Amino acid sequence: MGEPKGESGFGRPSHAMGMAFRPGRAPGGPVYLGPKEKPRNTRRTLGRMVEFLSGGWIALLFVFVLVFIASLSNLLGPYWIGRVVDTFVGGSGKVDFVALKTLLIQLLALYIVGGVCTFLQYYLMAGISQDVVYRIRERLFQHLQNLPVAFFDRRSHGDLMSRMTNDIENINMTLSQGILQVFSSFITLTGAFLMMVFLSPLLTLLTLMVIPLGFLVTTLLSHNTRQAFSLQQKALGNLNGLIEESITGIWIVKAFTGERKVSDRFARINRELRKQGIWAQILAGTVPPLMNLMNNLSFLSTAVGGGWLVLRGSLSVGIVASFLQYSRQFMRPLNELANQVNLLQAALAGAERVFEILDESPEVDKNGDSKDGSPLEVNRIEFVDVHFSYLPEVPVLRDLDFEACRGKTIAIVGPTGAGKTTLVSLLARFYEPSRGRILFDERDIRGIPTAVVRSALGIVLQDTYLFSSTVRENIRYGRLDATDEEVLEAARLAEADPFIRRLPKGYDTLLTDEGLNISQGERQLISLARALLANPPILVLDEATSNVDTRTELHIQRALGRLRKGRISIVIAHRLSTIRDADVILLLQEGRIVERGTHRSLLEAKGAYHALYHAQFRRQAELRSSHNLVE
Amino acid sequence: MRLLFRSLSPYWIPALGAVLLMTGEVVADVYQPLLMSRIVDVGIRTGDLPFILSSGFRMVLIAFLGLIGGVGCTILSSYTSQSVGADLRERLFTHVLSLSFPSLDTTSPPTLITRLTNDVIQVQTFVLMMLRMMVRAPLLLLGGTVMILRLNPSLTPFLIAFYATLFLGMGFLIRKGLPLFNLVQKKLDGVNQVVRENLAGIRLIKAFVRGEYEMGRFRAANRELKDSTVRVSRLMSGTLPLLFLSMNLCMIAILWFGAHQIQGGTLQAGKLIAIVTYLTQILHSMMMVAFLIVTLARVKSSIGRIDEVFALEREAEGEPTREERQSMQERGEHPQARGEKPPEGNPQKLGLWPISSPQEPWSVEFQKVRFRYRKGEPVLEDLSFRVEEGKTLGVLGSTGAGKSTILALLLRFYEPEEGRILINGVPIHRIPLTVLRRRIAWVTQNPFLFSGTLRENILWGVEGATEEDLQWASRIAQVEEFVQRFPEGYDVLIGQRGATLSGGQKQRISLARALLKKPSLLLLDDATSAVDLATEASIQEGLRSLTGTTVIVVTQRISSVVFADSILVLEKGRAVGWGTHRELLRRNPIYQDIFRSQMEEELQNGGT
Repeated sequence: MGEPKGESGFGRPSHAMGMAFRPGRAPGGPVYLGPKEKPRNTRRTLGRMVEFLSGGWIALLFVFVLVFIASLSNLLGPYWIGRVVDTFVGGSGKVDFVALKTLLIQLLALYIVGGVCTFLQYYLMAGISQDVVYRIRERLFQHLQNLPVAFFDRRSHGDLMSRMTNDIENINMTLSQGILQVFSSFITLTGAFLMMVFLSPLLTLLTLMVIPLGFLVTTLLSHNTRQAFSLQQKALGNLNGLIEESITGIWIVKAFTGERKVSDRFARINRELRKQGIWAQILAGTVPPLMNLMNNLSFLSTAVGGGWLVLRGSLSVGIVASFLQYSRQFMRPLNELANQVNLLQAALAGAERVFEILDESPEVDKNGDSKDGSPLEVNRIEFVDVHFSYLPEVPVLRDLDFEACRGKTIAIVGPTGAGKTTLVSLLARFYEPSRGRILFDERDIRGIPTAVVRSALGIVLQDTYLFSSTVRENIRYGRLDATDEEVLEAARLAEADPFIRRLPKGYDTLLTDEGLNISQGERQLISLARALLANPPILVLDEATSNVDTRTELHIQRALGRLRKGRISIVIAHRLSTIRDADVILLLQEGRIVERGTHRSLLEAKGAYHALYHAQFRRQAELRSSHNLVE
Repeated sequence: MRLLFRSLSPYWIPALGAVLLMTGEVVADVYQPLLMSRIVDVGIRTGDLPFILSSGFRMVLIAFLGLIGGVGCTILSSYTSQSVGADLRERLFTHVLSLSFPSLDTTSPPTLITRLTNDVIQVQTFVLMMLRMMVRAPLLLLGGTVMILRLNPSLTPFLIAFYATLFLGMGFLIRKGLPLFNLVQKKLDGVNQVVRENLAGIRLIKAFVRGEYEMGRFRAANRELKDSTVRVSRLMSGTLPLLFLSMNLCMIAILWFGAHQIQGGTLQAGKLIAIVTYLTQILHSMMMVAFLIVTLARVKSSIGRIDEVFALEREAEGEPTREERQSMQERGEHPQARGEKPPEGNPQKLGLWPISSPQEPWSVEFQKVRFRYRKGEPVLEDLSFRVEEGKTLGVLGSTGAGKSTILALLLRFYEPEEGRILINGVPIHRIPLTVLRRRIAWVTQNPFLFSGTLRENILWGVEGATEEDLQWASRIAQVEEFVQRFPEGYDVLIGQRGATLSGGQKQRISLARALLKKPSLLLLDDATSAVDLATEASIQEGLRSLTGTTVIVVTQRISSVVFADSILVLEKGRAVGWGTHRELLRRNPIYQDIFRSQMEEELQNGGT
């Protein structure tokens, strides 16, 4: 593409305009539209894109007919003008006005038909392509929702984001314009060729003499251009990565006076980007003037040949005039076609990236309709001989055996990396055990729809994610139909109410995940309120209050104590003080349960728990004596 | 817009060159149809082959000149636009790095990132287009009009009608289209927002089984995007064919009218063809103009957004370094002349200048400090305390008491509203920022790691640290213990900002990074909250062995501050207790209360 640059052709709408008005990307194309890569399996990808057409088949067929007619009318235009010119020239100064009138009316009809068809074609295609893109986006999003957590842990979010936006936008472009343009260019090309042969085979030969030359130039250039663009894209990617990292971590950059270090790296990549950018732009920008030269060469050969033929009396001036138009109409689509095929390839490569995600297998849930969300009553959770590893050779959990009953609290303690959080991930079915079973009331949870399992759990995750929304809505996320009073109640229970009231707009304060407008401890309180609001039969707290101060935590403990009665509580903590009251404490080390029992019995056993406890409270022992001073 | 011209000004020579060369190309473009018409009218009609050839060669020659102009313009405009873009990007990036924290608080990181990436590229692309089209379009328009009128002045009314239609069409497009394009952009942002949240919060969404709900949110955003896009596309689909139709109608009229003139002998067929070609040129250049206007509107908002960032306040640099002073004096400037007083206290004793002075602990003093974040409630109020060189201060308080803010003030992320902060007796704002921050190490609640290897992350703050330094810091921070589990050791890649590491491991790495600086002042902000207790105890033991470092520990846990030389108890931004652990236990009710909340159970379990 590039800027509209048309000197020729009668009323052939340039698509550059429609392209340029696309939102969401840099206008003028070349910066982003550099062809990136070739699709691996064009036919299959196209086939899959067609699947998304669903009901749009007939409309699309109709659009193709319209494109055909519009291209035809564009093709016939020059021929008619040639005939008009012949009415001027034929009678040597005498114009055949009757014939002229008929011809002009025919020409008018031709143009109107062409215009209407072009309009309808665009109008219909807007709907069709947007429907398809809408469906692809929706399918992709739905699929993302169904993918296992492992997928998101593995993939870069930036990459997923770019597939969801850039690549889909590419598909949109291909559909709304690319395919039609290729089709119309093809028709025009064939048509112009046929018309030329029909008018004068000899002149056709003369006109086409230049084409091999043009071909050579464009292929040579386009190969290099593609390479230059991909280098530019790479530099841009590197630079964006650096920008993102240094801005998200600007606190650290500043506190460590790393500004120089960062900006040096920035300057280096920026220079590289500039170099590649200049090169890519130059290569891409050279094509139009070169094609212009080719056009003129071809024009010259046609004119010379035409003049000679007119002189010999074997051709009319009008035909030469039409011919000259055709010769231009022939060259332009040829040039455009090369560009469009490049674009199409980039778009198909994008589509492949989208389909690649759709090919990822979703979470295993053989239990039919996950919407069958009848609330689950759980009286007992049991882990039977559970093994798990993320990487085959590094086991994270081994021989895990325990049970938790309704009304009881089970605490899991252990050093960092012992597998505590992994245990929660298995319970929530983010991951599947590599061996062993997890049972809810004797039922293997693999036999229960995942959604039902998760609905039974109220989890406060270690990673306290908040949505860009108000405090109130963030808490309400726990139970969407909760009233404002219930939200308030949950916040009170979680001891979040006092600090929320101190926020500038109270419960209506907007939160953002990136903006650090509230502290980590406060985020934990909101997350806790959210989980409490859900009022689930199983409450899972994974380091839920690790950043909350101890006095607030004590209040929370008391509140939670009241809530424990009708439910199973699973508490993960490294602060032993928070789990002292648990009915069972499991001490996890390197994926194994090394000790289990109550706080008291474990202390009496004087084993690993005892040691851990004393490491933690070694200094408290001294404190105790100092405390006596108060007494 | 000023920004655009300022960015362009260093490149005015190539920019001007591009414009001139483009003029050359336009002249060639405008001249060609005229030659063409002569070939048809004179050459072909009379069969004058030599004339066709000579005119033809002139055409090719002119086309060749046009090629030189076009390629030259491409080279120069590419060079200019990419350079302008690169310069602007670098300037903006440097500016962002130097922004003050109050400014940073007003913009979220994603907006800053978009401005640095997208908006700069918009400007860059616009410069490229401007250099190629801004001149080309009006010149083609003008050239085409002049040529038509020269060929046939009687066509003026047709031209006027044609122009009027075009202007109306363009006006309609801009008026109707622009707001719609902005709308589409907004809807697109909406869709992206939902996707982004779903990627970042996927565990939460799954844990709460909110897939259906999120699907609903997405569907709504997606539908809005689709509807607005269809609206824009339909508007465009009507406008373009209409414009072309108007041109074609104009052409038919000219053909009809021209036929009469041809009969009268005032017009030849070739000229008519030339006129038609010029009309096409005019239409295209009008479209270019419309396109430019739309782009300009978009670029204007990009420039506005970039300007906003430039308008944000930078950090105050603080006192110039000695070297800077020296060079200032050499240049005949005197620091005092700029209204700056020499630092109070004894600079020699400070060890502040030059930067490379050996490690010495700092003393820290707060004098009646009051601080608020923007318009909010005061976070710190009338706060005074003092830590001597090499001592450890514990700051204890509940969530939101203002503990972290003390550290932010020491790092000079913010300036106190009232009162002063002294380091070794020198007001903090007199110390050059780089000196201050180079000698302070800070470990945050939320550890932030860079992508790269573990080694790179630990060495991040210090140039030229030795392997022994690395080992030493890793040992104290208890990084060594888990590094050994990686086959690659310190060279293990830690992926997406440490995604493969546990929270505790990340905290330990970030502690090692801080220790490696061998700082004069070490700030620990709940820095071991995710570390298990046994490891934490080992870390604390290591920290106690540090000499030459003043330490400030912010925490909610008494156990972490028991051995501090003094403890500051903070509640709602005010100091409510000060002293050693023993002193506080004896006479401070709030401290006693906290103590009880944390020790209660231990007392209950007394004998064990």
